Amino acid sequence: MNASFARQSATTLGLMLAGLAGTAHAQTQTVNIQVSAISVMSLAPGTPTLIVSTAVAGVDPTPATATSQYNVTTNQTNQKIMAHINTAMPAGMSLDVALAAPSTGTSNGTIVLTTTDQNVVNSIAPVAAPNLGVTYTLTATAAAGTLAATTRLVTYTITTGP
Amino acid sequence: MSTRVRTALTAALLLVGSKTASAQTFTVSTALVGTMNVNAAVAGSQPTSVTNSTTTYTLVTRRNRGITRLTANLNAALPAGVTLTVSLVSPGGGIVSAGPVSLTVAQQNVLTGLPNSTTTFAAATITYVLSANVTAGVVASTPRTITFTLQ
Repeated sequence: MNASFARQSATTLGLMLAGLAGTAHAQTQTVNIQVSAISVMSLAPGTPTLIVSTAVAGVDPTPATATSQYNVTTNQTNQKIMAHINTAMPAGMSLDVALAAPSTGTSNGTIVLTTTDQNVVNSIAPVAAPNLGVTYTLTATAAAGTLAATTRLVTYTITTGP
Repeated sequence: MSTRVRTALTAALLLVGSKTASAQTFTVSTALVGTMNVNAAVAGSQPTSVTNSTTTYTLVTRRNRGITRLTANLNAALPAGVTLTVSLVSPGGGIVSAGPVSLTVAQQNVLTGLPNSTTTFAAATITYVLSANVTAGVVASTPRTITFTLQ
């Protein structure tokens, strides 16, 4: 074997070894990732019952209260929760509600429910909050008289806005 | 030595070399996984993760290559609050899956213990899970490329 062939063979072997050393193999996959706007709330199961049944003599009947809970998740800012009832209350009676705010929102305190949406929690920023308090209060004046058991449907909506 | 003989010897050497240099390979069933969209939540909880297990991989191992593991990494970091994990089912043969690996731009092992033998492992499942917490906010559709590398 002469020097020229030895060089040629050495070069060939070098290329082969380089090929072996370069066997690391790569493949790719592409994923499109996306996060959509999410704002959801839910109420604890059950139907709160409020019965005005006592009074301190000389004043209007004592209001009745009932509690419940709600959960909320949003990944957006400037969210609010509104509430309304399906049917107006009888004269002399009112149904109030107060929702505890999540850590990133502000409660509007006690709101007298009507058939028109009203803000009960404002300025909610991204949060995932379970088991927040809901307090209902039923108030009746003496003039309201008696009322057989009846229901009111309270609808809550979480949406964007002040 | 004549030129003809030199050429013949070199060609023979190349043929031997080409046989022994056949590469280990990792191939995926499709390059485009598709869109993964976190778009729902159970109220009171973080948004619901989404899972994609529609793609598979085929792994061909060879003897004496010194390849022992498969790594994965992203081409770009994920938005804050967003996590993309990948999990490759072990195809057997003593290969160990790292389980769900939270992908970053740094290479991380997803399979280890690749055998020192010539074996083909086909159609093992790749699972991606996209998660986002509420602080991630809304993220418009954006691509991320995952690179798998045999090492």
